[in-house]
Amino acid sequence: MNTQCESESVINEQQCLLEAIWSDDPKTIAESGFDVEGIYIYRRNLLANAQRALSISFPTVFELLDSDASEHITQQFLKSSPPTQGDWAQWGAALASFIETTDVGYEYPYLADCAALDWHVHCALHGIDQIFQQSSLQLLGNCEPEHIFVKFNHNVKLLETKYPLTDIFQAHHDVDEQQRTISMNNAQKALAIAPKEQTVMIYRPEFQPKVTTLLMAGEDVFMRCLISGQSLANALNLVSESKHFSFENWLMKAIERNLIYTFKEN
Amino acid sequence: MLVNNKKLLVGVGLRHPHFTDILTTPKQVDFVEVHSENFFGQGGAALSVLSQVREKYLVSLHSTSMGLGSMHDIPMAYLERLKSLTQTIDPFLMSEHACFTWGKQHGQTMHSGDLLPIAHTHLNLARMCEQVDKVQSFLGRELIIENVSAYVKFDGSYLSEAEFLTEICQRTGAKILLDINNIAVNSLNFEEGNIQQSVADYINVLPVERVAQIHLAGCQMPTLGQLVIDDHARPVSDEVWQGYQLAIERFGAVPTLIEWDNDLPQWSVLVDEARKARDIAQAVLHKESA
Repeated sequence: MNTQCESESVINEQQCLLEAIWSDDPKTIAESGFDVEGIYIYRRNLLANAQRALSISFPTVFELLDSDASEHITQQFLKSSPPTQGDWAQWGAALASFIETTDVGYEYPYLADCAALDWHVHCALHGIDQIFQQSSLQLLGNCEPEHIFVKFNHNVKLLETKYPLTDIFQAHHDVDEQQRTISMNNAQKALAIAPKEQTVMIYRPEFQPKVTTLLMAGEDVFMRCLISGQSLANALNLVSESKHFSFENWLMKAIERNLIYTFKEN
Repeated sequence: MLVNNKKLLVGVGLRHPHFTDILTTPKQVDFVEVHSENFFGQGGAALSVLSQVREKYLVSLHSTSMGLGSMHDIPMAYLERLKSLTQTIDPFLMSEHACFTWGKQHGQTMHSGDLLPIAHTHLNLARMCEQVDKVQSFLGRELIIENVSAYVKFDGSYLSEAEFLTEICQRTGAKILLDINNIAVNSLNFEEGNIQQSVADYINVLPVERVAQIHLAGCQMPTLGQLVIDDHARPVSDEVWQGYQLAIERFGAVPTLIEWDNDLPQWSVLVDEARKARDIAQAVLHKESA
């Protein structure tokens, strides 16, 4: 230990070791008083653990980046947003916004949205298990829509994007190889033309989260209205002009996809 | 096998790639051990698999992030998650390491992402006892505390790690998880590298009744002059098996676990390693009871 560390309390002894491991300055490491080879082992372990954690939580992003770029992003992200919870799986909520600030994020503008999608899928994978409370369906027959509210399954998330996120995701994760190729072609075609606003939904019918683009006219507006806590009547008003939106069709699909946790009366 | 009314339990570390194996093959080990943090989610497939495994096997929860030796407090959010998992799984053993993991950066709590060693001093002893008491009381469970492998040393240490662990257990009622590979790694990194002697010296300090579990693992041996990295990516080495024999001679039928965390082999390889542990332990225990 160097003189500075020796004279400090044990808190600083631990802090000195942490700072040596997390420092990028060779002088700080060399003067930490700890065995330099040992510090470099901890540094390599840290980077490897972080990289493994991010590759699990952000599989699409890590498929899109080559190994040098992913290592660089990991190193930078560790500095800007160190883990705070003692569980690597909970680390990464800020990666999407971090990527927006990087050169690679600027060069590939869809990368940050892919990170946001990956994070929502990752959270859904470990999210609370919820199934539709079927008995609440009777509210639809017994109450006025003004008094009916929808509590969505905890694992449902909507994401607004200008990029073909669903195709990019399927191109890397669909179990069917042919479907992966089709999705890759679709994604490349869509990226080659002007960006188009769309809403991507993450949901979890059973254990495996799914990703889809909301295609039914008005579906995104309708769902956002309900998710924001407004009544069914308000949500239906928003789509009353749409010839293509059918509440019955939406409800059937929503139940099939396990989007709704329960209907509530208020 | 029963020795002094204690059944010898041998288990393996359960990792994600082996989930299907454990649920679809006949029971070949007595228990499995999982890393608690891998099941901190509120739901999902992993937790569901663990609940199914629990119906068939005893489960040990091995935590890797608590950092009982940290001068900074363990965040309550972490402990709440651990408690929730404990209530769901009802483990037969719960363990952690004698290390620190929490610190501060720019005024914010941060996690080290690794098991970092602590100086074995009375100040750290008092701090660790305080945290062990707090955690045991919060969880309503006895903790088993593991010795760690290290790549740096604190010159200020004046207790041996074995003395340090013994004292913690005497003050808090916690038990000891003896990781023989960690003793081997530290022996090669900081001592003469005579693993047998290091294990013997270590275990002779520990009170017999306090050792509640043994970990066995393998790691890559270093090229000359380099530190050994405890990667848990190899079969248990001959030296560690010999150390295990010494440990069983001293501590008797202690639950024993094969740990393998990286470059995972087939499930059958883990089961074979567990079988080898059982054979060695039984040979020692038979000899002693004869």
